[in-house]
Amino acid sequence: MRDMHKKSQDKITPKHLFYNRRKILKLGLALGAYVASSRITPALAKETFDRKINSLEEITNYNNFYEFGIDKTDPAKHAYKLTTSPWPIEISGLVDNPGIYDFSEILKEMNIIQRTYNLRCVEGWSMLIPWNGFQLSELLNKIGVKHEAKYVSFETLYRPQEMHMQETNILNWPYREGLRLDEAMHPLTLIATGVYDQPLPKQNGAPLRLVVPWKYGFKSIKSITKISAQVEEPISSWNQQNPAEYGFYSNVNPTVHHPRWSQASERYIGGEGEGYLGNLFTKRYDTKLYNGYGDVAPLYEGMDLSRYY
Amino acid sequence: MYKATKSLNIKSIFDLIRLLVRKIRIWHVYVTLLIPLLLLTSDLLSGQLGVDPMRELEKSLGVTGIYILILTLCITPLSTLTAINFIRFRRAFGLMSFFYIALHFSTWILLDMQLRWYEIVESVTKKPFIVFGMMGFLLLIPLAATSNNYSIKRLGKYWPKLHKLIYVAIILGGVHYLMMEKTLQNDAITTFIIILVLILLRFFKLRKINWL
Repeated sequence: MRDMHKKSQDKITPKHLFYNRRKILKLGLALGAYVASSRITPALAKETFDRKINSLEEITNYNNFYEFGIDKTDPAKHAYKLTTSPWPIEISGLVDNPGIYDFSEILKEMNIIQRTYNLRCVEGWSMLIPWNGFQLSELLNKIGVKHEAKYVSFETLYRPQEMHMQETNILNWPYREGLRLDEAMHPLTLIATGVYDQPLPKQNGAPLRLVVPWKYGFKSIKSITKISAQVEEPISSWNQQNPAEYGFYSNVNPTVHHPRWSQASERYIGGEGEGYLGNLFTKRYDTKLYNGYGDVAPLYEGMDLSRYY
Repeated sequence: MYKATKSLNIKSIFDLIRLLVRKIRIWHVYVTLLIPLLLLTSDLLSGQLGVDPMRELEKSLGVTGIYILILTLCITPLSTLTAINFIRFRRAFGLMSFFYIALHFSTWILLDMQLRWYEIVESVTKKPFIVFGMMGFLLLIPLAATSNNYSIKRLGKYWPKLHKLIYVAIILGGVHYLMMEKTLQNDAITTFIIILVLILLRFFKLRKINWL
């Protein structure tokens, strides 16, 4: 895994450029156009350069990973307990090649790419994160999804010895999520295995997690150990916990009312200024339908988005 | 013999406390209750509030407000049970809790919602989490406004009745805290239980504990 990331580092924007976000902005259009054309999904290229990319410090110290605690700083404190190697992944259901594969075996086969996506949390904040990983479609094509399958389901590791919150009943563990097959096959749908060209930090869902940029963050399930193709709609943990607040689809949509948080806008964590005080003045941006990833609109043509929220 | 000495000791400790309490000036209470704000400010300036200081600031101001409101409700039962008399500081506690909650509200309007009035109106009318918090704050406004000698004289027998609104306000605040996250948090549950116990105490006729 480390080798994989090392190799990819040469091809991707050098790390020191990422760390020096201000410089990237100052380098101006030339680099901007280069990065946008080669690394960033076209739909987001313009968005990206309105804001700065979040620092690794921000990305690794502000997480929702309830297996390690409810507070945003809990995952950074407790996730070190997680053993991520070996990491068997059970692939089952309506597939041609079911079985248990180790993460390292899977990673060797995949084409590692870099994607900078806006992560929009249902709580009304967002972060811009430079992921490394592979398209979920590449994995699904390799394991061969049978044509009867309509959905793909995912499960997070269940190991209460290492994930202490799994001993409580705040959620029905293990954490589960799912996508419709066409959503899973969409080129924007990513399995992230790294961030800033490093292996994925444990608090971000090591060793592999889903990233579906046009859906609220909780759909992007972390530390996946089971993937299954199936006919019936998969369980989604937050939908199961509170169906009035969280739907199966959970597409980012500023016009679908949420009983707790305003979805019309989002606070961009990281702020505008420099330093600690700069982060105090986070800026609110208007939230866009599908989080700005309009490419996915055809997936939902003819669907009543306020009903299938 | 042994028992008697022991109770005598506790009694003398409490006598000392009662004596010390009599020495406290009201401004001491105001200054002491400003300490949480000073600590919060120093945490903010030194980066201790983390990646999203706004959220921490907003939460800490609200929680401090609720805690001081809880202390305000402790004053009467404490005085009845132990004769440790904080009653002359009750106004200071009440006003300082209002001060923190007003700062919490301002942080929400200015730094969190950033004066997006459409969303603010939508939130205070349609989102139960915000509706509870907002109603609690609105109820505290007349209480803070009448926390002065002139109002006590002017309102007469209505003043104590008006100030019973604190019970409604603190319950609304406790519910607001419970609803803050996607799931219930232990801190909010504990706070709510303390609030309920303090309100339930009002239904019992308390008497001074003899051995104190």
